[in-house]
Amino acid sequence: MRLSLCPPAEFLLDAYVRPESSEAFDAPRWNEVLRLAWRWRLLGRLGLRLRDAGEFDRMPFKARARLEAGIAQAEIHERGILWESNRVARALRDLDVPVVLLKGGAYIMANLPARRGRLVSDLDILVPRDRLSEVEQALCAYGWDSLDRDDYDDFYYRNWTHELPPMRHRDRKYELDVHHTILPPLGNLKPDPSLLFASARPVPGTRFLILSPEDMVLHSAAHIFQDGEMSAGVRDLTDLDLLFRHFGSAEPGFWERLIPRAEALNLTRPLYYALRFTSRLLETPIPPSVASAIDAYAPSRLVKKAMDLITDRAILPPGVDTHRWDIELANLLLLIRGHWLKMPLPILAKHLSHKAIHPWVLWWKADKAT
Amino acid sequence: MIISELDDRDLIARFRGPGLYYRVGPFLIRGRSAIDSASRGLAFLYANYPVAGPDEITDVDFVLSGCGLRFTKLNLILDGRLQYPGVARRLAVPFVEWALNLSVILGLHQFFVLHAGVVERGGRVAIFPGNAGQGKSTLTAALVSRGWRLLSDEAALIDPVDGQLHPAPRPISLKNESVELIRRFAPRAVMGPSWPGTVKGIVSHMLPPAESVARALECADPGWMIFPMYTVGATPEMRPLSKAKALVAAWHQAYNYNLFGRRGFDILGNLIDTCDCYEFVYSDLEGAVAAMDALTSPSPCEVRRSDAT
Repeated sequence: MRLSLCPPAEFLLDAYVRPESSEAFDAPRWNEVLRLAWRWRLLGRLGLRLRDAGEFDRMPFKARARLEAGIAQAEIHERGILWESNRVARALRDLDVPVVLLKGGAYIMANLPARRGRLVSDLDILVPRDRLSEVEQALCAYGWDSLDRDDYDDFYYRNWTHELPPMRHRDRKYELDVHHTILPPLGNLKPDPSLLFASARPVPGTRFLILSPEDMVLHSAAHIFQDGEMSAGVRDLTDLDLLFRHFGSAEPGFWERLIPRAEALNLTRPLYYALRFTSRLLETPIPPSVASAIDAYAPSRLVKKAMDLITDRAILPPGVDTHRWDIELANLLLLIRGHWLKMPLPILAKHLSHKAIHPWVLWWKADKAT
Repeated sequence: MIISELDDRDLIARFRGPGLYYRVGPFLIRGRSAIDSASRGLAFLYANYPVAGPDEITDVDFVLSGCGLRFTKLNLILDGRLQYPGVARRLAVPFVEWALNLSVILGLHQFFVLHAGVVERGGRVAIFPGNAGQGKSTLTAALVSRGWRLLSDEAALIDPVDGQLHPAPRPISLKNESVELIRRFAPRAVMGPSWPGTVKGIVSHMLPPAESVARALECADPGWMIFPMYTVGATPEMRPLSKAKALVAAWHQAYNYNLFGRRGFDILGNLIDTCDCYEFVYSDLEGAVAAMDALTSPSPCEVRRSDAT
């Protein structure tokens, strides 16, 4: 059941789940749906969905042109990932290190349905923590620079997060995130990265690995519901929907292994939210046995209610062009929740006070210098 | 119906309510605004443009809403995204103009788009691709005030199928000393208000001639690809440019080249093949307009050839 917070979002999700429903759209409705799809970076994915269903001949010319442009944009991003991963492979060719592609890069290189219409603006890789410095040096030698702004940011990334400071290639300006695990190491959930490497699978014809199907789903879930990053919420949920649907049919034993794996990796709560929100918003088919088993990991009723309220607002704003205070508040609460889950309180306090005070220190120094 | 035929109450009611729908060439724009001074400012710049209704797919959708303490700032929402948060309210009009430029660049890919000034005379189009600061807007404004038809001062919209240019004439955005230069050069041109204090300095808009706006659905064939090089004190000179150099130089100004993939190369190649290509060194506008006019009048040897037949 969906909440009717936002009629245009309802229509967009309807068109995505049942493409033929778009045949009833008039011009004003198309306008809202296209604008929302643009805002959510979902034009390409919606476009492919409607094109495959044969709807392109039954819609206004301009609607089709917008969707086709969205599809073309996603194809550019796909080409970008193919080339960037080729360059990363070249930079790391002398290192005998397992390199796992994550998120969009993995979907594209492994040719999964979740690659379709996906906008990917940076490449994410996972390497063992004890090999980080070798990998970083090799990448530096091939033109990737660290993007950190100051010593504090550098310290923050290296000590308190699950990745190196973001890197960017000098000439191509393409961003690369090098992770050593999938969630911040100080957070309340600590999946063991050695488990991820142990079950990772090779991508044929490349030097890369991808996570096993269960781990890929769990990582995607952890990214959305643990990181507090909900601005691309619907797009990320469609990733999960495509992964669930694909692995559910193409990968024998996927559903049976999913919950035990979540228990082993300590990711049952994000999986609970992933199943709840994909089935609620995108009608993802979930076997009844899985749906009832995951209920054992539901939060308390109060938390559940609060998460529904906040997440719905963050994911489905109540109008296409509104930027209202309750949405800003919902996003802020999710950000706070994300930080809360990421760091123990003393470190969080230190981090926030630095973020609050540091601009004034800079201002004071600049003032003295002039 | 055109925008200047709406009375003030109707205009404000549309901007505050369902939106004012108006056409700029092939584009249908919907504007909503809670800030009446901005609504009137836009209505002045777009006075001659046709009003449309809500029953078509819109290409650009912008919303201006007040924000900040005492409403001194505004949010500009472009196609559903908060594009310019918290900008100074008095600069609403230039920000809307930038948003419209951005929308053509980011989202409207039915055309192959070059960053260029575009004018037409005698059925042939002159394209001035160029980085900011080479004077493409100033040159475009000067030519338009001397009888050339304005297609755009910002974007050449090339039809990917037949290679023709689609007009989308909008107010020409002039910056800093160019404003005074054009006021002196074309005293009869209608100028909008000056907006000091933008990130680009002073901005003012020259209204396109009514004829350019009225002919905004009339496409035309490419004729010249001219790279303007404003050089202080130089005598005007049209230097022929090789097709290869022109192709590379134009490619740098192509916004959505990669979106078209392989086709993008063919579209740009065909365009360069059709055009006579020049580098154009100029300083004063009188000389520049004379040099451009000389291109359109048949050259002596062509006259002789046509005498012979």
